[in-house]
Amino acid sequence: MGTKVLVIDDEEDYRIIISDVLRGEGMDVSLACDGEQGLALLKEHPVDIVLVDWMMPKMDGEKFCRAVRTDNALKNIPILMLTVKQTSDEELEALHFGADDFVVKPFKAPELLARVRAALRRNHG
Amino acid sequence: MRIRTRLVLLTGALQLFSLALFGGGVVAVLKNSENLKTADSEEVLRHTIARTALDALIQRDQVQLLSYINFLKGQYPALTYARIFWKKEGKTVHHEIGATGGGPSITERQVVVSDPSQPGQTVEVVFGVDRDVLRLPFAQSRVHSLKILGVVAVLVMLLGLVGSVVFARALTAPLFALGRLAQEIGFGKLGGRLDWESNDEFGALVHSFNAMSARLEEFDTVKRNFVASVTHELRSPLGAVESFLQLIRDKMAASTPEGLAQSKEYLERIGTNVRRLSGFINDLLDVAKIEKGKMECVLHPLKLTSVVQDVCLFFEAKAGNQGVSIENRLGPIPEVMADSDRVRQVLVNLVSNALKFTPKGGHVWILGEQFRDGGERWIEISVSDSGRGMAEADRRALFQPFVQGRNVADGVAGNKGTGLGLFIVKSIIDQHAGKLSVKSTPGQGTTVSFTLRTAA
Repeated sequence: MGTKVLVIDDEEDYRIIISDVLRGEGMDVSLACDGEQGLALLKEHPVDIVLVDWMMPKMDGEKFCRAVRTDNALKNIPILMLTVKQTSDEELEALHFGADDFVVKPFKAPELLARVRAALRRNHG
Repeated sequence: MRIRTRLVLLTGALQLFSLALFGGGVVAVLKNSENLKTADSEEVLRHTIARTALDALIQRDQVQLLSYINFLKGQYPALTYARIFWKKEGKTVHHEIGATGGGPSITERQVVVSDPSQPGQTVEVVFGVDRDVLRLPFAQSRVHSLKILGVVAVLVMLLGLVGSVVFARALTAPLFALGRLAQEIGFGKLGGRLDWESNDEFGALVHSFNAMSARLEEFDTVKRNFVASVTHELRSPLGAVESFLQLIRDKMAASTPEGLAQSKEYLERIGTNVRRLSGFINDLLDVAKIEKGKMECVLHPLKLTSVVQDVCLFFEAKAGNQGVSIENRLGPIPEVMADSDRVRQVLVNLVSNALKFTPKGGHVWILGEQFRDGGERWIEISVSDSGRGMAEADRRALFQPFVQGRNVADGVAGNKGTGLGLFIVKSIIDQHAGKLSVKSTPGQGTTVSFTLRTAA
């Protein structure tokens, strides 16, 4: 059975791109358009790793991270933050509120895969 | 040198100068009165000797005169010597009391008396007066006065120094605070203000400084918004295009039938992203034109009905995908004076905004209404939606470039836009001398209206 990934992004293009890349590697990808939807989905179907966009309506990436980290059942799931923000302050901020790593858009497929794998490896020790 | 130090030094110097002037005056007055008093005492001595000499002459008693002058010499230390010439019928008897001569401070005085009843008999007394000795008690009192004056002067100086330091501090306090604030602003900590109320130059300075600081913060916010939206609006579609191209390349290499079908879809998406990019760049160019004051509209008679029809057709597919109906409810209206491309741009902007905020099952419609204003005929076009509406605070910031309401961040999925659209719309309508207005009720919908003058 492949690795289960949840991708949360409000931009359809990026949902398509990321799921294409991950499915190409045999991963099992589920999609959500905002933090609320993603959180609901995550509670029903736990996954191995979450990729979440920072800027989203309803519940943004930051709030999503906090919500996951304060939920006992979910708090150990690795989270990768997707962002177009690029100052190192903001990247640090992302790590502070609970993301394990971040991927800056636009990204290259190999970079995305490498970061996903690294986060999974760290999590499984 | 710091202003504070300079103020203290200056007031100190002024004080010292005025004290010196005052002190000099006091010393001069004291010396003058001392001279007068010395002259007085000398006169008293002379007078006493003259009286005694006359008494002795009348009583023809030389011994009395001698013993009295001896007594006076004991009484007045200033009387250093006396020579007495007793002249009687051509004969002169000479007596001498004390040693003649002495220091330079000794002056010689002479008193000559004669008895009016016995002409030919005169007494002449030549005596030396030591002015220094005469002056001594007055000089002592002068030194005493000057000592008191000196103490008072030192006290005044100290008080003045403390006063001038306090004064200088109070005067320069707002300057220092302003300096610190300016430094903070220099280091990038914007928006600081100083609480200082006074009706003087400092009050005015602080007031302008606060205004400047607030304006600077506003500029900074605009700049941040600009950088953030430019970054997002450029990078996001560009990144998507890059990624799609890579995916297409991989699928072409693999050359599976479903891969080729996906590639076709991705090409469509690339097209959409490129249009979004070029739209954004056009908006940026328009804003640059507006800010240079070069946004110009050429007005010609225009059939608005066909433009509105065009725009509705343009959005039909998008609205359909979204599950929103779009309706042209424009009745028959006269031609308006307008720049056809710009009016089309306005309508595209307004309809695309309306669609952005209207959920599935909602409606977007365009209305036209004629009215008269001071003999001129106008048409008001309104674009309405049954969408989420907006709060009053968002409505007020609507026409500022690069500013978007909370509404956008919280409620729009996908492409959020740049916050330039309504700024451009407002400038275009201004160029047409029309009015742009927005009515909105949160949860019920928004209507944006603009007016155009009719051609006839």
